[in-house]
Amino acid sequence: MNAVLIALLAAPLAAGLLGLLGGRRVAAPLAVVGTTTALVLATILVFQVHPGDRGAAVDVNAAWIPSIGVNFHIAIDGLNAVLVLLTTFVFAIGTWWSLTDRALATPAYLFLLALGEAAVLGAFVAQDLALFVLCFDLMLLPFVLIAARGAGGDGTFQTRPVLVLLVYTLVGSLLMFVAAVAMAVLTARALNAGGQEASVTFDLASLYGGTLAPSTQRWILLAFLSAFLIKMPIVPFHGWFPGAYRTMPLPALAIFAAVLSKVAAYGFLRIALPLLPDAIVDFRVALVILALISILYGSLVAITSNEPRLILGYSSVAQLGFILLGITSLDPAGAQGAILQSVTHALVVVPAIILLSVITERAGGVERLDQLGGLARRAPVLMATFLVVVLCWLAMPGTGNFVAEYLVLLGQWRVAPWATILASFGVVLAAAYALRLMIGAMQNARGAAIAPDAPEIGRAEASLLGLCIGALVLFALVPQLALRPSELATHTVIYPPRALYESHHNAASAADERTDGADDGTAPAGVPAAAAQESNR
Amino acid sequence: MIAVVQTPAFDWEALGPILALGGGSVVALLLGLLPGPLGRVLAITSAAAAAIIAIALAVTLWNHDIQREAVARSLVIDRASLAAIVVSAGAALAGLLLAARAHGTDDAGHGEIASLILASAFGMGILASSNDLVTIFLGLEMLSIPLYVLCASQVDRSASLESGLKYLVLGSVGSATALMGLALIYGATGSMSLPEIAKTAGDPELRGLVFPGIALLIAGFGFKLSLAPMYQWTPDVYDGAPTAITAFMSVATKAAALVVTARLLLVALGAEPLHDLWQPILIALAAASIVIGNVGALGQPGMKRLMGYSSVAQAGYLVAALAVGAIGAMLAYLAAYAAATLTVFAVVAAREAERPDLGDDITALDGLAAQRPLLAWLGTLGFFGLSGLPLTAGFFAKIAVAGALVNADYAWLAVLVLVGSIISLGYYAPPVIRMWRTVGDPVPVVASPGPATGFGAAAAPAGLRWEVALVGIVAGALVLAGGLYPDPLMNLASDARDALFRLS
Repeated sequence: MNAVLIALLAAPLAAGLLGLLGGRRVAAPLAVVGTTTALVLATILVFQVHPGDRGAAVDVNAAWIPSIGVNFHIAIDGLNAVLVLLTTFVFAIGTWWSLTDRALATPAYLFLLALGEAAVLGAFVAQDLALFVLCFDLMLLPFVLIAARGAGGDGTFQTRPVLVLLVYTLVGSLLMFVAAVAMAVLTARALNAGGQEASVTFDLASLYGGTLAPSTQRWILLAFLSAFLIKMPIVPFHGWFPGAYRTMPLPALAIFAAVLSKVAAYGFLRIALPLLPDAIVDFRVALVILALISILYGSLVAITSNEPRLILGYSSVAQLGFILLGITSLDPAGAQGAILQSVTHALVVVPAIILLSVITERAGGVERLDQLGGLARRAPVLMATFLVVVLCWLAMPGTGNFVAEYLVLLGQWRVAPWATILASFGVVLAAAYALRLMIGAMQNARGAAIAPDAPEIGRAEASLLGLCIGALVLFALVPQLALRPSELATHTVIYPPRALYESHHNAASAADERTDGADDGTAPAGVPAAAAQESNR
Repeated sequence: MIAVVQTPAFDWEALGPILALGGGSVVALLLGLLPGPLGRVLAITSAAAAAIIAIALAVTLWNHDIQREAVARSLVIDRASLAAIVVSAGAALAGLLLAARAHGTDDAGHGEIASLILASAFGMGILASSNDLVTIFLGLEMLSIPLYVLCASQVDRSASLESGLKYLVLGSVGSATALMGLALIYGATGSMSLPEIAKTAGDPELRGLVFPGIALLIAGFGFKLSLAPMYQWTPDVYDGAPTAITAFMSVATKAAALVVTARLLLVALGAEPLHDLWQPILIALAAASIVIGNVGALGQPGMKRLMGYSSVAQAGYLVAALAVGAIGAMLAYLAAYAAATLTVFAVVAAREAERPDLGDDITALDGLAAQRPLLAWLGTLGFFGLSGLPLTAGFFAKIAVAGALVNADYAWLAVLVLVGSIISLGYYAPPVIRMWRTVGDPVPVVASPGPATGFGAAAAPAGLRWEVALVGIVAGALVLAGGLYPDPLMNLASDARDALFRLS
């Protein structure tokens, strides 16, 4: 299976590279082969993860740069399996979709997408902090170069949004870089001071456990937060994204919006929580407040915006607020809800952007909500598809998105009911902005930009949308697909901060006797899904 | 009656790489005198061959791990000096190839250009391997004087002449400052030889002479390294000099000056009280260079001027590593910097030849990805390599530097290095973004109101010269290789470090 894991990273990259060298004629078929292979390999790998297993299902560890303690250590485990599958799926859809536009799908573009896929997958499977940082920084660069092509948006070229995208998001990434180095060096030093023989290593497993003093942890966490919060983005660190959303060609944007933000959310679970537990507990309330601000602010802007791209973008900000809320609950239900939400949000964003492209195509490239409308009667299939996506988007009960948001709110309720109450306004607002977009774009009288004989959805888009909706339906029917494999793994990563939090909490509640006794000192309560007994073994 | 002169023992084997550079300089000058194209071709090829021989000899000596004191112990050939020689000779080779058919080389004479480049590299070899104070000064002057001439070699451009003059005047100040420092240290310790100085320099009674000596030395070498606040000449000189020369000196001068500074400070003047004096000075200069260089480069439209400021910032990163004694990290970073810089200059030189109306202006890079994909990929690699992004050697070199700084309890400086990298994206990224833009005409529009008027004036682009492409490809391949598998680079750098410290 190790070879499969390596092939998973190598397949898209090799195809992209061959396409780049081989020219336009071979690039397109190779891109299809590369992304499909990655999707198949990821599916194989996901089936290696058994819900009851602790530790990695597939683990590759090779010396890479021993002189500075960096290993090429990658693994598939419960925490990342579903996200890896999601990544390959989204990149496959995005690449296939790109191929329908001949002007867009140059060999260089396809290579850049492949490089992005390898980098995102690398970030998800990395078990070495330096490798994670490398992939986290790297995954941005192809999208910057794609945005620099200026092929998207209104066709005029401006350096500025691209530059803002690069600099703003790399500010966080580079601070994370120095934090990662400090983490490795200072951990080795702390271990040496404690009498253990330790050399500098970036291997995550040996950095776990919170060896560092809380004050050191705090500044290191701040640097990590700068990377994660900007990349997600969480308000008020979202200044870069409207410009980037406007300049990027839509297929690339679909990938960008769907998976790159999830790497940041995943970074919390894989890196920040287990490595810096003391600091996470200290900053927990601040992070919850940021998440709430994102949910409410993102939803409100999405309700008022006139640009469909930005409605999608700000709704993503709100949804990522939910993900952050789930993670910072330090509760197994919340964390699992965050993982499920990562998957379901990505599966909603991709078809929503495809639909957006279909609609603007029928509006002669106009992307203004007040000039759209009236497509529903002319294109009923398009309308039906849009309706399904919107219902998932606003987290209708019965969809996977509903389960995810429910788990997030449940997890947060156990630690901070006030935050849950505020966040639930976001659920309501989601219905408002999603329905507003659908009504504005599809219903009402015919918009000024829509041709009277606007055609029905094309076959290529319809099949791509069909795949996305199939995936959405799958997670609506069996959300356990994402929940079961990640159950034990989430327990493992949230346990360090949770234990600290509970000991603080118990010490505080012992003082003023307000506990209701039920979750006092016992094992983490309330495991979602069906496997509660298994995890308590 | 014939006086018997005792000549010092001459270690021909150990001196091979340096002599190859010096000899090549003479041969190229003579061959350049041949008339017509024959002279041009022979001058460049013989000089290039001499640089390649120097590199090959240096690599051979490296593999034998020699440590020899040659010419009456005034030179020491070890892996540290060989590392600097390889970088300098490599940069000289790149400079020769970039200059071979560049505009202006013919006016100055191919033989002269080739000879001067090698003469400067010869000086760098001497400087990097010098083991006593006189040799240090000799190397410093041998390095600098040919560069003054080279900077002014594009005789039909007043900017080039200005650049040469500026470098001459300010460079002499730098050399004189360093000389005064050397004199004070000699006066205090009574010895020219670095190992001898190391024995006595730490004596507290000598501090009245040694302390100012160290300060002057740092100022003098800070000038050669273009550290803030001794950097003002850098943007002007880099901008005015012919591109090939800028490429050569931005890399090679730093290599030689860094190795000799490390030798002087860590080996000869590394005693405890002295270390406590120069470390804070170097840290402060490094921090100032990082801030000033990065901020100064923002918004510079000319690529060479931009690289001038950027080299100030890069010197800051290098000296930060030097200050905490992390010579391995410093050399690894130097190699990464050298490869990335040469890649960028190859692209700039190629564009300059194709668009003489735009020269090194940033607009010359517009839409490069559509016209010359190879150059666009190389340029992207080069600029990203300079900012230390992943998949380039700069990424791991920066990990090494940041790790050394954190380990030496200078975490704030590590943060500053990375903040500098963030600012640097503000000027490294716009050229890259321009290269990848596809909107509009495939032929870049002449934006600046210059002698050219629209598309018609720009002659059909002269083809990409193969030797320029070769420089870019080799340097770019090194950047990429260092980004994918940096372990050999790290090991070589730490070998050189070990050699340096073995001396003390």
